[in-house]
Amino acid sequence: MGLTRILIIDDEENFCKLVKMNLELLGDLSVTIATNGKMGIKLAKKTKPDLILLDMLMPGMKGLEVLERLKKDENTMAIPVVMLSAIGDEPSKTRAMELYDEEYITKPIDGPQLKAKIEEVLRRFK
Amino acid sequence: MEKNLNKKEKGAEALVSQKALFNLLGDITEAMDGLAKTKEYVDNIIKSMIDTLIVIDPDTIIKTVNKATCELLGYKEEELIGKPVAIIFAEVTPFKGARMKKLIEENSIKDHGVAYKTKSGEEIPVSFSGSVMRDKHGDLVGIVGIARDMREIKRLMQKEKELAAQAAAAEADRIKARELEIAYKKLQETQDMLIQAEKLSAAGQLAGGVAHEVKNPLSIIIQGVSYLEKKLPPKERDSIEILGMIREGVDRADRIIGLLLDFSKETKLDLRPEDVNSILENSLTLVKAKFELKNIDVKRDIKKDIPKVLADKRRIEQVFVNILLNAIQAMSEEGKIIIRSYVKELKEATNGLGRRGEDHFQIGEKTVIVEIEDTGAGISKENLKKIFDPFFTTKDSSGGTGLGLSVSLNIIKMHKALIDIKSQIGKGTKAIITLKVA
Ligand SMILES: Nc1ncnc2c1ncn2[C@@H]1O[C@H](COP(=O)(O)OP(=O)(O)OP(=O)(O)O)[C@@H](O)[C@H]1O
Ligand SMILES: [Mg+2]
Repeated sequence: MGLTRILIIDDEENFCKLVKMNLELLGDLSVTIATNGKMGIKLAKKTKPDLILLDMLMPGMKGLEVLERLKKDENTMAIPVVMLSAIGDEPSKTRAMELYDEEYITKPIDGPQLKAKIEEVLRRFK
Repeated sequence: MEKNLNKKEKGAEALVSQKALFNLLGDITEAMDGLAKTKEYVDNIIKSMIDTLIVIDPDTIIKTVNKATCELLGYKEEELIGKPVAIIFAEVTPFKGARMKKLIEENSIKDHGVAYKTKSGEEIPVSFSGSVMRDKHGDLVGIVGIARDMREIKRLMQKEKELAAQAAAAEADRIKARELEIAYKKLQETQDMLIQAEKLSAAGQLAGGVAHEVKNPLSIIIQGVSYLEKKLPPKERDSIEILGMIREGVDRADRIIGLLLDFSKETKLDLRPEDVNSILENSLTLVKAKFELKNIDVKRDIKKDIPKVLADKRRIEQVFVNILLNAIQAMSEEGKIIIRSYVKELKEATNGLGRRGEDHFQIGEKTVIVEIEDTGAGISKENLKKIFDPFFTTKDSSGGTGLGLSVSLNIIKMHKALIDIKSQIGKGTKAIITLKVA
């Protein structure tokens, strides 16, 4: 299977759709969408994606909590997570970086930039 | 005087014959006439003198007083003649002890401050001058004294003193008023700064609140734009151009939000000892293209070997870039930008007018100064007060946000540094940044 599988967890549905369209248009990526944290965790366990894009600020379960759960679960703990944030949510950002040494992207970001970041993270993880 | 006359008469008798006596009598009459005239003349002078006059004999008994003396003291002439002079003096007379000795030795005293006492007991300050009268053998025959009533003069002097005191009080009032004015001005400045800080934090809070709501839609737009850019065939030039414009719009909106967020965030600076000259060079590189576009000449007057400053490199670079951009924008086609860096020991208190930032410097402290000067349009006095306000801009038509300087001020404040902008309309503008030595 040559396709790299990405899971995006973000409450902004249109954003998710566009990210999917962009990433799939730009290269060998396949994107699954989850529009809340619960659903995201479930999908992550089930599909075991190569990388997760995780929005920090969502209604309901917050990004940091999702991250913590993913990292506690042995099924998902090895999956690299790139966090997305609209504002520099400093406390959770530092927390996440301290805890899990994860990547961090500030919105807005365009398609090519996002793809480049994903590739960079994947390269490092291999 | 009558005594003298009698002597003369006697001498004449012994000397002359009758005829001669007759003639002599004529002469004498004439002489007496003359003498009488002289006496009358002298009496008149004495009487009409405004100053008081007394004559005393060697035993300090009053022999003569003039009208002025009587009027001043409330005595009749006969009440004074033959009395010891002490009765008209309040305390000491000049005719006793050491003073008398001095008077006799020097033949006169001048402008002695003493007090007369009137019949009713009132004391009158007088200025007393006395002169010793001697006969041809040099023996003391009396003393003439003149006293001037000093009350009016004293009053005048008192008045003058009061006027002087009043003038001094007025001057003190003036000084107080000026101090008050300065204090008021300072207060106003502080108030201005507080208002500005308030505005900044309000803008920041607002931005913090809406940033998330704005950035998410921006993300959607930009993702959409990149999708369409990729999808559109190259021949769809207009559409591609439109997408470029949308992209630019998104970038601008994003920049504004980012700038506003700077105010709200308790942004931590990454302070390190930095070489200010290399920060300057980096900033220049960032705006280089814009210089060349406008045919602007950059002159550097940069001191090598200046000490490192304590700075967050990226932030200070942002400040320099903002100022450089303003300079470029202030010049129409040609112009000059002069960049200076040097070390300065602060000689005066630093909170001059127009200087922004907290006063964290002390007199004598070594600082690094960076100046960025342009030959652009300059800033009016009116506008100079507002340039640090968030959203103040005169570049509405060309898309200025009015945040460049307020953001810069914020960064400068976080560095405990100072920024001062001086400008003259038509001549140019100079930004002066004072940084702490690491
Ligand atoms: N070097 C300068 N020469 C003339 N005017 C200046 C200069 N620097 C600042 N100003 C005036 O101060 C105003 C505020 O400057 P500031 O940098 O804060 O905002 P701006 O330049 O208008 O917008 P932005 O920096 O966001 O693009 C400017 O609009 C301009 O009127
Ligand atoms: Mg500006």
